[in-house]
Amino acid sequence: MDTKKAEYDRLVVVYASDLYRYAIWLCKDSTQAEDLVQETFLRAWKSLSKLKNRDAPKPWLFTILRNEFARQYSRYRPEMSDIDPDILELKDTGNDTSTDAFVLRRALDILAEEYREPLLLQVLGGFSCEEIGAICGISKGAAMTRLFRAKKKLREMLDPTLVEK
Amino acid sequence: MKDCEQFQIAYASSPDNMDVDLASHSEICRECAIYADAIRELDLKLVDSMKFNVPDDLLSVLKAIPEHSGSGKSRWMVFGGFALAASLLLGLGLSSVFRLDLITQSVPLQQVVYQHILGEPKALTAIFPVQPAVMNARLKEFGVSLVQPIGEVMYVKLCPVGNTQGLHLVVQGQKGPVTFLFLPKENIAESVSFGKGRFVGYIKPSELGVVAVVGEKGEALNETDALVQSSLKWL
Repeated sequence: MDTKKAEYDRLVVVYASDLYRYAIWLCKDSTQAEDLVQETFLRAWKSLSKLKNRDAPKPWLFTILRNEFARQYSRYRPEMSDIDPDILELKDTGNDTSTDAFVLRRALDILAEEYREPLLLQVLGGFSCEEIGAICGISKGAAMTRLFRAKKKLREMLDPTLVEK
Repeated sequence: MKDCEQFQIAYASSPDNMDVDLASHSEICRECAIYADAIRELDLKLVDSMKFNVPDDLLSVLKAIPEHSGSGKSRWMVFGGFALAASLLLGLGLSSVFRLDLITQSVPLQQVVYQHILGEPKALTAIFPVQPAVMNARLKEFGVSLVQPIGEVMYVKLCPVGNTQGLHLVVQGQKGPVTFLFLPKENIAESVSFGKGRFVGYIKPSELGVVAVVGEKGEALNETDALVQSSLKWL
């Protein structure tokens, strides 16, 4: 097996699951999410030589996926106001269907995009604030603030009594 | 108070990389200790709520991408619907048309339609029906609404087809998936039928522009077609 293919395979094995879960959140549709991940890896394969930091390919892959979603898929995304809350169960993804998980996912989905995205990158990607800032095109400080506010808003949605405190 | 704010921002955003002095703040501040517990609990719940199962074949599909990406064959070949798409191709007797460079204005519309259907085999292999809310949102985006049920809709997507935007809709027929492709900005003078093998279909003018209908041989395409077309209305 050549070196490039071996490196590519390693990226698939290590990062495909995280990318798929991130894609699910972007697309809200498992089929589109699969397509998006496939497109991401196709682009990664074609431009593997452009990967500057070979020790840290994850931000690069997430950025490709995020850009590809913005380029191709976001225009197909239905407005949330049109979506029945049941879709958040994402029944064909085999996810946790407990009420707690459902309520949390629903709260996440209501969260403004500017807060949700850094949070998804932190939880699903395990990125640092610096990396989140780089992926989202914001400063490290802004990423910290958004994460703080995202969790504050989530907690308030899950426990309205916190709003008054 | 400033310490509390700094602590809470740092704890919520990067708890593992906190300054040692700041991290120790929770030892002397009960409010921040409670805050840290709440954030830890929230983080755990977030992780649990996002544990979506990954499709079994995802890794193998992704690993196969390089084998097809540089050969001029498009990525659809690595998808699970390859066999079905290939059957469709053979059924339609159109092996010579499956070349990306044939999508030009000079190519007959039916070939562009075949090309599109073949390029999206996932549309033919969907296992789960589309959620009604998603379907309605996509129909609305296309500019139509559903006025009566049309059965199980397995796929619905707005797609660039040739030089226009089309509605790609697949419903479950009696013998298998029935594909509809609505192309409102296209024109065709008269109906054209095609297919002699497993898959058959036709392309014809309709109220929603040109519509292509493709399904398994023996499928009651006209009935499904009549139902679907009478159920879709321009907004």
